[in-house]
Amino acid sequence: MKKIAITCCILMIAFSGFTQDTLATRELRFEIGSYRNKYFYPISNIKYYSNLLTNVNLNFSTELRCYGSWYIIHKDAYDLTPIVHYYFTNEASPFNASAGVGLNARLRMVNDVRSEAESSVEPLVNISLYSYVKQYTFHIGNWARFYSNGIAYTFLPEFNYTFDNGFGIVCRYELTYLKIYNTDVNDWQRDCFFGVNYHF
Amino acid sequence: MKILGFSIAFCLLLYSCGKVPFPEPNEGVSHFIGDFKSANLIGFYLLVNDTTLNTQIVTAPVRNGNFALKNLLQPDDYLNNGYRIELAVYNCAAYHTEVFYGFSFMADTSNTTTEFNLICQWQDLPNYVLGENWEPNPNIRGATPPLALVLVDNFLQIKMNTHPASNNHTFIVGTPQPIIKGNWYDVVAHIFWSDNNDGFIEVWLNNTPIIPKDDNNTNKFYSSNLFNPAGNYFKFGQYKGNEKPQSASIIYFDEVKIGSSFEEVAP
Repeated sequence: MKKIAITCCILMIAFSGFTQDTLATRELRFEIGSYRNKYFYPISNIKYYSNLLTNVNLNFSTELRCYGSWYIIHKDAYDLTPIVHYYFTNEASPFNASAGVGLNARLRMVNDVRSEAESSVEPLVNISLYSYVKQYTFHIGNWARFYSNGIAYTFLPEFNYTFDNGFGIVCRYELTYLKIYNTDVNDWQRDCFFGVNYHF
Repeated sequence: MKILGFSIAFCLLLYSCGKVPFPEPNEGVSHFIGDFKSANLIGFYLLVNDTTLNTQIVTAPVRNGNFALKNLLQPDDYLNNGYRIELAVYNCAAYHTEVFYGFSFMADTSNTTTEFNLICQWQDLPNYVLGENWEPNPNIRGATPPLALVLVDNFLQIKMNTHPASNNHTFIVGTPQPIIKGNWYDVVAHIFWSDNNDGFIEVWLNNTPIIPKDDNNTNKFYSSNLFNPAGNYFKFGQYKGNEKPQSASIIYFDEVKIGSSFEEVAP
């Protein structure tokens, strides 16, 4: 473990120097996780992010989440989350923010009479804070997802280190608060991810 | 007008959304009667290799009525990663519900093995609404069930497990009860299902509580008994784990019931 940590530090120093000047880049990301509330459960994500229009600070991201596998392929459950983001400035500055809207499509294809899971699509509102400091990026996403009987808020802090060749490493935590309207029912859910990304 | 149109569209979108991925409260109890009076196994989900051999309806011995179930587990009855002959009832152990379960069993006098034998268990489920399933890759779950009644060397134990990913956190609740082969025993379990410590179990054997009284002068044992809010499901029969049984064993079952009161399910 110590060797891995030292190797990571050496690599970070050796590759340091990448500085992102503008948000008008594209990113491809792959992540695996996760520790859920009480147990490990394999989840994998592929995320693509791109500037949508060159003359407006509008960006687009879409994330495909596969449940039950670290290899993105499983027959039972996926989430697809496309979001359009508006950035208040297009510069990669220490203080930045964006607001976005999107959808969270839950695809549940499990064939088991014990399952009550159903596929559905929910609207999503996203407000994010960013900080770009040289090759480091700190990102705090805040999602609100609206359901027919309640709401979910998700807090998504993430840390990203990008090497000067465009490759990077990402750590992300997800903390979700669920609330069912007109009841005292609420719950917290946790997930965490580790992954790699590529800016191009 | 535009704002009105947008508002209507937004409301329609919200109305068409799915539900919060978490169980709603007060789902109620699913009542079930499996007393074999109609001499069939309708209503049960079978984890059985050969229904003509492993699960036979017999006229003797019976606890009540004219029929009972003879459950025969042979050394080669390997199914779904274990040696088992089980019958299951689904959707009967929902999150934050209080349920009574009752059944009668009799260990056959011919049984000679002393290895553990789960005669009933409340097995956990993947949290389907959060995308989970039975066969993740890699499979890093897979522990003993949160709650089971285990026959070991002619004693009946209440065994619990609070760790979804480990078999090293199991413990016995109450005092193991001696079981005499060839005698019928009536079991009633009263359970509040929760993934927190407000969950409880209360078990009677032949109408006698087998969990000692607690500080509140009740015979309840409080502990988490769900791994997640997806709930559990009920199975009975025989399950002997992954090690091949030394010989065949027979357990008779009768009066399997699920309900909302002791009187409703007591054999």
